[in-house]
Amino acid sequence: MVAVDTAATPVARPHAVDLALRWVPRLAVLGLLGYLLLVRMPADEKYAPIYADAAIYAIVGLSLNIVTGYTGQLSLGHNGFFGIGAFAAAYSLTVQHVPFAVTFVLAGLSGAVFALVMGMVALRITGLYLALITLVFGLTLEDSLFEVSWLTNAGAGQPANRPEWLFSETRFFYFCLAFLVVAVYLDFVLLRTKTGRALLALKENERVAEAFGINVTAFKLFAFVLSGTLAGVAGALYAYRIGIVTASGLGFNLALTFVLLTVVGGLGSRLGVVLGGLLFASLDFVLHDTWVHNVNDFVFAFQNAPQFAVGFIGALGLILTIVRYPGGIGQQIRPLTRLLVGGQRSLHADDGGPAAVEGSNVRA
Amino acid sequence: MSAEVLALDVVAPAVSGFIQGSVYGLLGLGLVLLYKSNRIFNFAQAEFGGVAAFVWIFFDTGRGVLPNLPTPVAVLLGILAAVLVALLTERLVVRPLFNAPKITVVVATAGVLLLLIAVEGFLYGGEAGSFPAIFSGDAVNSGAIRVTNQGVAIVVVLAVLSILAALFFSRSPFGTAILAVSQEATAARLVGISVERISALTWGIAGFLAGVAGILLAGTIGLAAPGSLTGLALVPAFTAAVFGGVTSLPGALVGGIVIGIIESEAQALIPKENLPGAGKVALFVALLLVLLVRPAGLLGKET
Amino acid sequence: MPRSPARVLALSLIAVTALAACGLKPEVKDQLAQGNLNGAGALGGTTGGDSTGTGTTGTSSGTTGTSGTSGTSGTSGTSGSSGTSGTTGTSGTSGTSGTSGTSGVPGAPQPGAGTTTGIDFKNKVIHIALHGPLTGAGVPQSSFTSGTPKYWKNHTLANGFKIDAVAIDDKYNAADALRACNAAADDKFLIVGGAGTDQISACAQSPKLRRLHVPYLSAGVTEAGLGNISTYFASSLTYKQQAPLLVRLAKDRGYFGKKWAVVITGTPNFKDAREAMVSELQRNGAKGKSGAFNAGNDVYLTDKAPSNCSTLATQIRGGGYEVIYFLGQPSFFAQCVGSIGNIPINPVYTGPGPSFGISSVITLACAANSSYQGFYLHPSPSWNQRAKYGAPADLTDDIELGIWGAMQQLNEAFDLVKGPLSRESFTAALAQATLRGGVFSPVSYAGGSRFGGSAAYANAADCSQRLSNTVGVYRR
Repeated sequence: MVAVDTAATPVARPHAVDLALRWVPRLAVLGLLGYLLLVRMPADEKYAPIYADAAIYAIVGLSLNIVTGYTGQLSLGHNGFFGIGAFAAAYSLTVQHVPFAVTFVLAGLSGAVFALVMGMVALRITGLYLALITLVFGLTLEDSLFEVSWLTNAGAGQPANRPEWLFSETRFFYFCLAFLVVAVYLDFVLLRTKTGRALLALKENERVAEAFGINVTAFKLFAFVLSGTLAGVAGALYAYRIGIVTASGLGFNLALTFVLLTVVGGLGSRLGVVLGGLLFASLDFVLHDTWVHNVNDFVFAFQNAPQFAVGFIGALGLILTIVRYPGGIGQQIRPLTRLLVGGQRSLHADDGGPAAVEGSNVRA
Repeated sequence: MSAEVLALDVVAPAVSGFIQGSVYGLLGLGLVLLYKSNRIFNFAQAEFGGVAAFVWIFFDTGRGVLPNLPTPVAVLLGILAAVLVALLTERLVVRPLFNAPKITVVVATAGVLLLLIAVEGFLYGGEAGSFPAIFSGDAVNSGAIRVTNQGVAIVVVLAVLSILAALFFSRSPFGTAILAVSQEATAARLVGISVERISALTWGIAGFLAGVAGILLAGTIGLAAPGSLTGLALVPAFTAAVFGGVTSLPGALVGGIVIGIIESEAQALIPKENLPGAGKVALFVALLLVLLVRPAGLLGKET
Repeated sequence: MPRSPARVLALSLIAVTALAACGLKPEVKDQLAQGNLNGAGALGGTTGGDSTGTGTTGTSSGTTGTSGTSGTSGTSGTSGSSGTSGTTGTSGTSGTSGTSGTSGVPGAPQPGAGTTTGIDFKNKVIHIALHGPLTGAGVPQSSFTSGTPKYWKNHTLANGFKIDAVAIDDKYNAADALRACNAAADDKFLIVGGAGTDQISACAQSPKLRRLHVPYLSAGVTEAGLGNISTYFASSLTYKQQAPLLVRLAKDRGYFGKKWAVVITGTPNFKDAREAMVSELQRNGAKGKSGAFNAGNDVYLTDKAPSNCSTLATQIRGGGYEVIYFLGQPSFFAQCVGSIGNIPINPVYTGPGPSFGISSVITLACAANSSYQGFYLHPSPSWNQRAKYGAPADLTDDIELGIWGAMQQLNEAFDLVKGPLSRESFTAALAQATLRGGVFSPVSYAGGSRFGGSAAYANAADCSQRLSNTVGVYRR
């Protein structure tokens, strides 16, 4: 026994040391980041709402990523699905007195139904025209459905009060985080399955995909429905996050924000999209309530409209991303994630595979 | 239906829709041009007009350190600003993406739109300002039906510009070059046409058209905030362009007027209690129908 | 493709986000530290401000203190003392300074007695917030920001405390208003609703504000849903209460017998205003398009923030209306004044007190129609008569004057509190009170109603001076 032991150690020890050397610093950094981002900062009721927003944005980003990043259909109307989810949750809870948990199901369902309709449109209309029609879809909903009296109090707002156990902003953040984790997991599973590969094939070339026996119609609809469901649920979270849903705030700007965070985050990159969500959720706070406001005030000293700083930086980020760095944040931090998590265990869909974040993704 | 009701509910909205639609047509014209030369949609088109309107009002009122210039000069500067912004967009955003998929360029123009709104906000302080009509007074005023001189001017401008555009594309070498590039870029290059120069020229023209449209529209509605011209006119302008299959210049003009009337009538005839935002819904339905039934447009013919 | 600058960009963006807390600007740091100031000055409290712990009622003062300590975890132990002083004020040196210094003065705040969020005992400052459409209403509203602190520059409460009043942005939108109010509930003692019916309604009904007992005051707007909210107080006449006064004003100014149109925002929060005005017009035999005033034909509902007035203008012009009661978004109003024009009819505009400034609306309206004329009821007199009502000369417009009046009334309310000041004692004192007012008319909540306004000023808009003039006072 002893002999075996001593014989084994010379081989095992360097391996263990190696492993430890590789993983202890990584785990330490990851742990510290995780502690800061997920425990320390959200513990403050003042910051928790920003983190909740980030989680909600990230879910929408993932939702948009399925349609745009994976299957290559540009949707500029995700504010529509999101808003429908938000109003469905608020209306069913406040007017119909549906149980809290059920409102999420209803929100997801309503998002899915509208996305199905949009998906059917996308079967006939593609490319630029699809981008246009989705944009008009979102804008039209903002002015029509979101102004309907019984559903939205004519746009003045439908209240959506959280149950008592969710009053704490910190707790609500973890509630949103749980949804985000589920969404990330769903997305992860999706790409590992045949369905995911079929969706990616759709983006590369629909006709080739069809020739390989992929049912383009079914998968396109599936992508839209899944995306709409996620956006609808995110809308419900948004409703409870604010406490009231109004038509203004669900319009054109929101649609563009969703596209911004997904593209800047990095189409096709899961981690990138989540970070994009965090970036755009916190931009307002960072620009106006931290030391950054000094820079902000200095740079834009000639103006008195600080509310435009977010749009300005977002727009610059978008244009820069598209023109110079098409992979977005997801690609730029790839070396870092590789360093931390290792190549094989990357959070990304697949390094170098069809889902890689190289130029082809944004330029699908 | 009595004559009074007819005048109030049908004729009056048609008149204001016709005028509003002329502006849509002007913007649609620019969209068609850009589609013909670059095969893209420009989401920033209406906001080029917004830039023109803000620059015009800056100089017309002598805001801040700016000199207070006579209105025609201020208007000219506004239009120039729109042209400049369009040219910059072409140079800095569109040209680097010449070989990128078109959908990427479209997202980039949405970025330009956001950027322009932010810049207008910085310059103007973010809230609506009043934009006086350049041509004051009424041409027709019978109570229900009112046509302002500004409205007449819009229609006249549209007519003049469309005749000029027709002459430009049929007579001038630049016009035919643009058409050549739009139909076969490689062949055009072979015969010595610079695709880059043509692209810049097209964007300049589109910026000019948007600038004219923006100044006229801002003066008509009287108030505008950063981004409000996009909210008001971008979707109708696209619908107008799609009416003509996005390739026909006369199609965009006629489409603009038709769209303007449809939107205005829907707003007037369908009460808000029954369907809020009836004008927008009508536009959406019209756009969807055209795209589903006749993707080549109602007047779709490459001209 | 150059990769390294891109990485630097991406990393710095993330770093900026992550490090947000480390570089908070001083004001925010102060606000965050407020949570700890329940007992006394939290010396080293940086970001650990525990705002919920203090937000409970005064009964559990012991818990407040302990959660104060937990909130400051991460900093030095010095701030631990602030937690203990949160108990009853007996322990801790700073706690006693709160009582001994001002003992005997009615309304002096004491640590631990009721909810005292927003009271800085060390510096003797009470933090309050006023929400208004700093952006988003479509007309420039910088006066909300500039006007909010003006009154308190040279006024101090009877108990010796100063008031720090800041304006927060509700973006003219109920969702953003609620977001702003809920955030303010964590570090402000009370909240004042500056303008905007839907926004005021959303904040007043906020479950968080009610749970934390945050007193909420606003100019009178709607009555729907606000009547039985214990923390809400309307500091002037509601739209509904103004309806009969408006008819009286119309009769006095000679425009009652003309043809009326009512243009009003179509959300449920305006329903009571609409119904009151319609029934008042019908009861007095007003004329509309079809002879007697007709609730269907002569009332036009508008969107909350409509983009284009052409349809509405056509209807008004076609119907030959001569008087237009308008209650809606200011920039839309200015647009309609232009679209409706003055030929062949130059209508008279009227309405209940827009809580937005009449001055800025007039500026836009006169630009659109140089012969524009209007008569309005308003909680405060016109700006050019401010001296007559004791307001200082440095107020720049009627929004500032209105805020000044609201703050003057608030000062009176604060001084009514007997015993230690807390959110609960403030609400209790105000619920029984009758306030003299000053710029604002007297107001009385003694009858149990929270809509205690008594009178409104009639202000006439004059395009030649680009100003309004007070032409009378109308009492209930």
